[in-house]
Amino acid sequence: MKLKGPLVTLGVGGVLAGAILVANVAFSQAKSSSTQQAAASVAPAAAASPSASASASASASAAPAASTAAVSLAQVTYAGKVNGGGSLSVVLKGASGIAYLCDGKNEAWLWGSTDGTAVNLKNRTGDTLTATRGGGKLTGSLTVHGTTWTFALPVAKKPSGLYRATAKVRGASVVAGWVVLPDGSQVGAWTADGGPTTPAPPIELGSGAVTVDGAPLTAATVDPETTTL
Amino acid sequence: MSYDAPPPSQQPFDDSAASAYVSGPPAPAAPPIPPSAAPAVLGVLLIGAAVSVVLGVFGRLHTPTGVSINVAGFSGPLEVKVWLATLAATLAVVQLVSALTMYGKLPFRSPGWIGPLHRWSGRLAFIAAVPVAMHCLYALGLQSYDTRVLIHSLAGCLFFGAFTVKMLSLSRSGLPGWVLPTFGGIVFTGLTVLWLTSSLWFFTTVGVRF
Repeated sequence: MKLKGPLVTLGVGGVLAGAILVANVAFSQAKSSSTQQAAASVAPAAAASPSASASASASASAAPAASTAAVSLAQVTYAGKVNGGGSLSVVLKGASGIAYLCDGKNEAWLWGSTDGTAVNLKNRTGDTLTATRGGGKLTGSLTVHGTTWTFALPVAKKPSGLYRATAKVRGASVVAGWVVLPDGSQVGAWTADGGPTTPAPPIELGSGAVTVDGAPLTAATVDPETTTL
Repeated sequence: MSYDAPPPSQQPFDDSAASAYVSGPPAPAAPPIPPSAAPAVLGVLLIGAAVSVVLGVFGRLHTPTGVSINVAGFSGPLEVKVWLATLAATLAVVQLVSALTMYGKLPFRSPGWIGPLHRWSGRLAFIAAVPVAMHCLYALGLQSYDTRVLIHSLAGCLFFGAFTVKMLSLSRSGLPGWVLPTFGGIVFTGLTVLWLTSSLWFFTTVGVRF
């Protein structure tokens, strides 16, 4: 042994890591014992069949299954109205998520990650969405342009859900999005080169055909694992 | 020159600040390991590899909680992490320059305070990186859902393993002269990759915020 300093450095780092781990475990247990227990225990069932998850019992045996369900989340789409605002659709798959909020005049795309239960999305302009899956719904809040809305979105079955189309129209990058609600109503908007938001005409459900800014486009559902916004 | 240990003037972590003046030639680049040093090199490598594997396995097996303890004054844990990682990456540049100075690779004499500067900037960088890694491992886990995340996950495991090897090498005598610069280089590269795949990504996609 020549120098003890490096070993002390390693030791201090190890002790710090251990202290953080202990604090994290205590933090998680305090959180789960109060509000999160139900949400955490329904996660495995929710991954396979979101609508059936409400019946999942809060037994301790469900917890180990959550680790596999969290990383292999099948694609699930939620769509509905935010309280007092526009339409919102959130698509989750694996550990990724994409959301689109639109009222026809304003829109926001958000993206980010999920662990199968908690969803955290954001975008370049500082908008954020935090939500929790459970009971066949996605419940949470989002803040766009400084305004916060709460929501409880049901699972959307095709053809309802989130649609997106991107294309070059006369040299400009057009990005269009639509939220189709379970009742078949839809709202959409588009921008060219990130410019002002313009209301978009409805898409033809089934084919996704739509004419935006004079150009024929095809809107498609969004895969959060492969889509780059 | 002997492969067994660099001369005192080249020992980056020598506690004697007065001996930090560099005059001799730098350590040779990756010569064959002398037979007597091989077990010692293998020993520290195995311990470092074990650290990397344990971190990776924990990150993969532990169910990500999505939440972790936070630091007051920031808007969220991600903001804490990108700034701690930026602090560590900045200190890593100090590490690189001070190490090059100690090894006589820069065109000026190594001042007496360069050794303490290297030691303390390294310790601070390490201490800044530990909470970031703990949040990653506890709240997010080792993930592979896109290339950036996979590279970041693997670089994180590599970084702490290589750092362990470097710290153990410093306190072990009889190691070849190339071990320290090699693992110092791996540690620096690892931390740089970690910063590029996390903080820089955050600054460019989400924005510079606290």
